[in-house]
Amino acid sequence: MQRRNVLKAGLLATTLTFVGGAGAFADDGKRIAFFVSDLSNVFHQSQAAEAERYAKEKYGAEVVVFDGQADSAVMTQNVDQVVAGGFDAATLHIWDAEAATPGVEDALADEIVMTSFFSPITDTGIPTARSDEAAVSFEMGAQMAKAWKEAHPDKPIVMVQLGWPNHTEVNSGRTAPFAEGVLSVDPDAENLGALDSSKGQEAAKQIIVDLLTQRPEVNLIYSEASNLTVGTMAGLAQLGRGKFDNGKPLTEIVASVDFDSVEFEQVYDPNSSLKASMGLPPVETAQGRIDLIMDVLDGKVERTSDTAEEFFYKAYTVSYWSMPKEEAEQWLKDQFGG
Amino acid sequence: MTDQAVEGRRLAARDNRLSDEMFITSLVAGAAVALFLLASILVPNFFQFQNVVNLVTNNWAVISLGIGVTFLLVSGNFDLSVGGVVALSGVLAVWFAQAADGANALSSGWGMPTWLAMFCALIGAMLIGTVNAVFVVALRVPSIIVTLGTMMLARGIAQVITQGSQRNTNLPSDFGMLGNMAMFGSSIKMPVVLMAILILTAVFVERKTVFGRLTYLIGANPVASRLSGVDNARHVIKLYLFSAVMAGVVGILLASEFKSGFSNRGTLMEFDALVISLLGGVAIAGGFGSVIGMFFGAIILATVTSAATGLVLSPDWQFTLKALAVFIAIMAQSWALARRHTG
Amino acid sequence: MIVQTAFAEKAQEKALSVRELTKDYPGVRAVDTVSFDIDRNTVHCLVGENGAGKSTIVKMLTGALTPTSGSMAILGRDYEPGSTQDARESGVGTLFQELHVVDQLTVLENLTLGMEASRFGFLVKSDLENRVVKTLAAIEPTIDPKARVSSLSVAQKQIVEIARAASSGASIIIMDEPTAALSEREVERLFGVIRRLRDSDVTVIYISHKLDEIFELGDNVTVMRDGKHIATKPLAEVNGRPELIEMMVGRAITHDYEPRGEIAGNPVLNVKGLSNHLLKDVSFHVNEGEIVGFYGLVGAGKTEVARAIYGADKADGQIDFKGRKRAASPKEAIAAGIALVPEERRTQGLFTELTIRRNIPIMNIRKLASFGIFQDEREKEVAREYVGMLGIATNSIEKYAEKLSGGNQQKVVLSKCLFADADMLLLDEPTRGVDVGAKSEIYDLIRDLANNGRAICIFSSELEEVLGICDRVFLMYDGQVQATIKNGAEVDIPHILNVVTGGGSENT
Repeated sequence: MQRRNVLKAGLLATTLTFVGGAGAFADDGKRIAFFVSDLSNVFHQSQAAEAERYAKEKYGAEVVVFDGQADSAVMTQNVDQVVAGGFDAATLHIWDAEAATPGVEDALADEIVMTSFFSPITDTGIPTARSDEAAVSFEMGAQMAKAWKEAHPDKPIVMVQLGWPNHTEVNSGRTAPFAEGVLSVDPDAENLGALDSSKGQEAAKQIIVDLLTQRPEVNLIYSEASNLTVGTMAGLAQLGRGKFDNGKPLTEIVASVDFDSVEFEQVYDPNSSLKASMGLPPVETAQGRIDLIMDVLDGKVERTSDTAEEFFYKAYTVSYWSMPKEEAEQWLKDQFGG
Repeated sequence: MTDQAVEGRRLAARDNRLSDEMFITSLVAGAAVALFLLASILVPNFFQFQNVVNLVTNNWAVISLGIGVTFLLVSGNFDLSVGGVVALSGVLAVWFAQAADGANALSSGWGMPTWLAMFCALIGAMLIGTVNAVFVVALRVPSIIVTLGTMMLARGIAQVITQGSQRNTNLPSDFGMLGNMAMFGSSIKMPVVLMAILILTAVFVERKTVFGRLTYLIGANPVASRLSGVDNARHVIKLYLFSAVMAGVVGILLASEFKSGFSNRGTLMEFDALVISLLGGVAIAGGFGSVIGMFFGAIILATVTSAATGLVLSPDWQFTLKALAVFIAIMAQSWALARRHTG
Repeated sequence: MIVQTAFAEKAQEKALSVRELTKDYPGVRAVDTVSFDIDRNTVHCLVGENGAGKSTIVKMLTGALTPTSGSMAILGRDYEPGSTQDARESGVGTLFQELHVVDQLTVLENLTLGMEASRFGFLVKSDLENRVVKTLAAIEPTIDPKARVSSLSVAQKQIVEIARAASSGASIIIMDEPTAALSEREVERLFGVIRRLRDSDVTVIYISHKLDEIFELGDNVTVMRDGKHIATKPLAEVNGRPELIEMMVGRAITHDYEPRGEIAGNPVLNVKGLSNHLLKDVSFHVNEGEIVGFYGLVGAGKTEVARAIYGADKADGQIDFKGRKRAASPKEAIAAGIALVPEERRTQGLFTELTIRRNIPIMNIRKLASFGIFQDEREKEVAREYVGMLGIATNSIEKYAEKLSGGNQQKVVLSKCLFADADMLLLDEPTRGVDVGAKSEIYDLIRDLANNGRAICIFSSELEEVLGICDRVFLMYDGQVQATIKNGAEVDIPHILNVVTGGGSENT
């Protein structure tokens, strides 16, 4: 079946010649392991679908998606599958880099091209593709703080984040820059810190209900994944919160990550308190991850380097205040196929 | 007074005291109240009515599961499959209800009306309960092994149906009604009220009916109960089906509340349900315990969780604190019961 | 001459002497001023009926019980074991009926288990192992020390236990019914082991119901009856089974009951060809209003007959109760009107952690419910009624069953059966562990029930009991009914004992 790809693969003649010279790969298309942390997430679903499509169309390569099931142990086990499964290349999405390091080194020793997405894998030095999340988190924090201060200049800002407090990249890309963004507008804002919602939307709901009952003064909430935001908004609703008054903040403002069609309705609803979300473009991300692999195969990027090379792909700030509704709609269509 | 008379009075005094079950239940309830008051001192704003309401409303799912799990534990059997059944029944309900003409595999289902989809999902849950019953009762495999297996089986099926992820599109508009129905014009949702009704019913069944009596007899001494003419097998089958129905209802209501069928939903819920039962004084070997105790066990755990959230503790500390609470509570019970029997 | 003197000295040095040993339980004197000696390097048999006091003596010898008064001595030195550990350290080993070997370990590991720490702490391991292997080879060379115990037969496991006792320096080994679970060939092998032990400076105290074994193996015998010492003499001087049996049962068994012989009522129970793993072709019938007894030793198959009729065990053959088909479960049996008082009161008959009130209605629990809802007040009435009717000594129906005496517990179990409205009662060891007063009350109750037309089967290993209350007695041995006797003044007790100990059968 992969024979049929040979013609298409002609486009890659230079790559094939190069690789053929290296003698390491067959000439009828590559098998690429494409890791995602959690396939229950719409973003990762789209990303995986796009990677399968894009790799086949552009490079004649076969993509196999590995679901980490939001469980770092599963992700680590999946790394071992790369060697066992006879893959030519892999783009990893790993939460516990330490645990995965030996597996990655085994794979490198087997001449498998290893790249990472989101987090570098410790000192293996494999190239890493990342979305530029920190800039977006910062911008959302700043916008929300500004909006709050305009509406309620007398109420001090109290912020909280819901997500994965022990996770380095979530921390550096979301939690910390968000707080910095808020503080850049109001240096007196109080930051309660991050709460563990890794169990999912029921956990997020429960935490919001508990927390806001005891600390009703919380007014900026960063819900660090779209499936958590479902729980966050449900919790707020149960407490009679979660509302805006025709574009004006009442009790709190919520930001999310992984903007999707469900969030679209809320962000552009002038009566919902969800007002911003990080738009992670699955299409560009998937293409970027596949391209990075091909660049390595092509010799344009080193297989490993002393400090991992990082390649950033743009992330979008989708916001009630800064992105018009039509633009957001178009963005969704482009990224998620509408 | 003769020794015998003294002894007689001592025995009479003991017979007039609470039964062991009532004793432990009051102990657990007392501990829950004490813990709440302690948290009120340590955590700002903890002491308020809304927070008490939250303790119950946040935990309706696990408490409902705890009812079936408690009955089974009292009869001397485990049910670790409830978390998996929660995931499976939710995923099934969504899948059956999704319109058949979705754009991709994850957005197309069977196009059943909501009520039928939920009913069929409940049948799915009962099938898992049937598997439990067959292996435990007919083939005499230890229940902890059987239900550990069906726990993974149920979740595995859910993962196959959702391709390891979730189904949340293309649902009929009334799918979210049941799980989000507000009751009495307050913010309290229907599932919470249902839980309250189930708890009261369960207490009645446990205390006042033949069914409840048989459950205790089987757990207390399965050999004697069989020789006394109790059909142990039939009763345990009923209990497994009941527990599966409870888990099925919880799963369907959660799916309705979040309008999604999520294959990872209810992860670790089976252990939470087990832990609150044990916290509530249910004997792991069977024959002893009560649903009301389990309820207060859940409140103890919820109080710790809620206080930890209010203090914005790190996940490691939250976990440690919960483990500590469970450990202390269970040790205290064994100690109190032992003292009562020697004292 | 020198040799003779040494021998005489040795003979005076008794392996074990017991002087005026007494053990009292509340209301019962289980062992009554017993004195006897056990010669060194002999197989000394201890015989007597159930309840004669044998096992109480064994428990005192092994340190499990402390005597009320009296003394014991080993090789002339005072012996006062405070625990089974003490007994072991004084050189008294025991082969229990239930085995204490660890299946997962090898024979050698089992033999050395725990010894390094306790007794041979100063020995290096290989010395210990050599010694143990030698001991095992001496008593049974066919067992491979490296074999895993799980691969051995029950008999071989027993021998491993004996070897463990012997190699830990036991000079006396007590064996309580060691052949109960063994086949004939295995019994022969065990006897070989016992003889070799005797020849290597070990004294064996051997307890068995099987009189043939005693004549085959024993050097001396001590006979006990009703807690009293009857005789100790060389078996060579015993005039065969009849004399031994006569010593065991004494002269007369007191009858305060006039047996009625076979009652000519309608047969309610007909059993034909009942067989299972233990039973061989058991057939009998019971008439309305009749009290029949099943008498035999432990393991003769009495309990199995009861359980098969009750539907608790599977069995082949025909059981016809009042023209109905046999019960497939206890539930069906109860529905048909059969109720069982099981052998093990505390684990099979009673819910010890429940109160008297909760226990009584269990066998017919739906009678106290309407539409599935339990009537607490009715339950209390019923409990009070039965407590009064059976004379259960308690100050409250809310007392936990575990707090009651054996006799009162048994009355609660009987109440359960009566509340089930049974037409036929199967009573398995109905007065085991019951004091004398409660015993006669229970007998009175049984007679009343029979006079009211109920059929009653009593399964007992106490001859006094079956002769004291039954109209007809089925004698069981080895899973079979060997003989049926009509109870009465002219009952031939030695004949009965002969039959139930395997001495052949002929109907009287």
